[in-house]
Amino acid sequence: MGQGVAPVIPALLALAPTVAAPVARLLLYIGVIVVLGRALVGVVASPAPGGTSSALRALLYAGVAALLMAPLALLQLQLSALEMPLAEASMLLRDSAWGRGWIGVGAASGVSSLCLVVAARRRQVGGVLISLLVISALALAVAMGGLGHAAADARWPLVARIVDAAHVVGMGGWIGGLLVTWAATREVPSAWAMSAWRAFSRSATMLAPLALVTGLASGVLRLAEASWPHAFTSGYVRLLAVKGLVVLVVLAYGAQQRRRVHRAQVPASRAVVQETAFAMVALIVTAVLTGTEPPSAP
Amino acid sequence: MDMRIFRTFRTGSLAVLVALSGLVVAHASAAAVPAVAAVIPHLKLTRALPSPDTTVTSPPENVRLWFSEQADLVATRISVTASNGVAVPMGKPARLPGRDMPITAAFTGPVAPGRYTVTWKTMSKDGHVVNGTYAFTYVAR
Repeated sequence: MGQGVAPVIPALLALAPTVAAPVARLLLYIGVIVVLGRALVGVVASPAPGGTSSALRALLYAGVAALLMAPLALLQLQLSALEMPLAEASMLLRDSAWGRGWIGVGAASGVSSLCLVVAARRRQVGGVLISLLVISALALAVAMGGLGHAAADARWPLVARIVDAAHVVGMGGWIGGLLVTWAATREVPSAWAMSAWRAFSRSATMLAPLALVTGLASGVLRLAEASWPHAFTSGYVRLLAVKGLVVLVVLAYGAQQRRRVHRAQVPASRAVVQETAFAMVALIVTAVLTGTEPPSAP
Repeated sequence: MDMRIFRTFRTGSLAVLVALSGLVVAHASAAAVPAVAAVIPHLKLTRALPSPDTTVTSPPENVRLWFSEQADLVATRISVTASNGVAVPMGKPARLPGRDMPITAAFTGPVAPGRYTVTWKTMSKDGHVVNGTYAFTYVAR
């Protein structure tokens, strides 16, 4: 057994630099979907009769951890890639476009984390906190464009940033709302659970198409200058195709759950877990995509 | 779509599915890196002076690099090494105001005849780090 394990460890260590940045980005996405989901459920659903469930509390704290770790990890990775010491971090943040984007994400992550902590500790979440959650979630969605490909779009910078933010809101609200609704309805009376699922289903009916359309638009913007058919062989296009397929699977699950909700049946936990698992795969692919160069004109 | 297929998954096999998917994506990303490297990045070096693989007959005063889009100056590093591996002293990269101006790093001391390797690294607005090397030769007249 030792002989079988020994070669795996060096292979994993060799893979570590390749996966470190996507893992950091994935953490950020998880944090964003938790805060967007909590904000959405706070707006569309009435307060749960028993207060914040333990499952929801755990999810919110997981979101906080992700939102606090991700920006720091991204900063360290960027400094490493540039071979800059930590002492020059302030210069990087102040004098570069990426740095200013990071400051936006860092600030929005901090405020969102604070809101999530308060929401997790409170038995009931009032309108003021929900408003703060919505504002910080939207700010985070907009700020994330400062760290992705949209930030480097020279032809349509404003359009790229708007499409990017709308895509984050769509995907985050959809998957985050699914997770938060599932966590919030685990220990509550079935009547409230049913109303919460109906409210989420109505929102998802708008958010899922928004995510799909803005995802397609973002892909078009990224590939507008690519030379075809050369671009078909690029890693970026291949990963984009994988993401598209996985999102279609998630959509199929969502459609099935929507039919259940319309028949006044609460979605099965197993189906929610399965849908979330496939959504996580889409997020993993997105985390890799963001670090991949889109093909451009030769 | 026949949803009965998905009903056969159990939670444990779901975890395996997600883990496998993550491994596949990680492998695809590792495999995609060479493929991406073969694809020209959106930030690329378009022109350099002294030009790559050329011979100059007067001592160069600086290295000037032009990029396809605005590169972040604070993240730009330019270094020049002689054929014996010794680094040539250079100033910090700078850029004059104006559209399409190059990033310039000046030699802070005399440059002896010989073959030199320029190594550069910079960052695009979305944080992609790109780098490259090229060589030129200085022959005194």
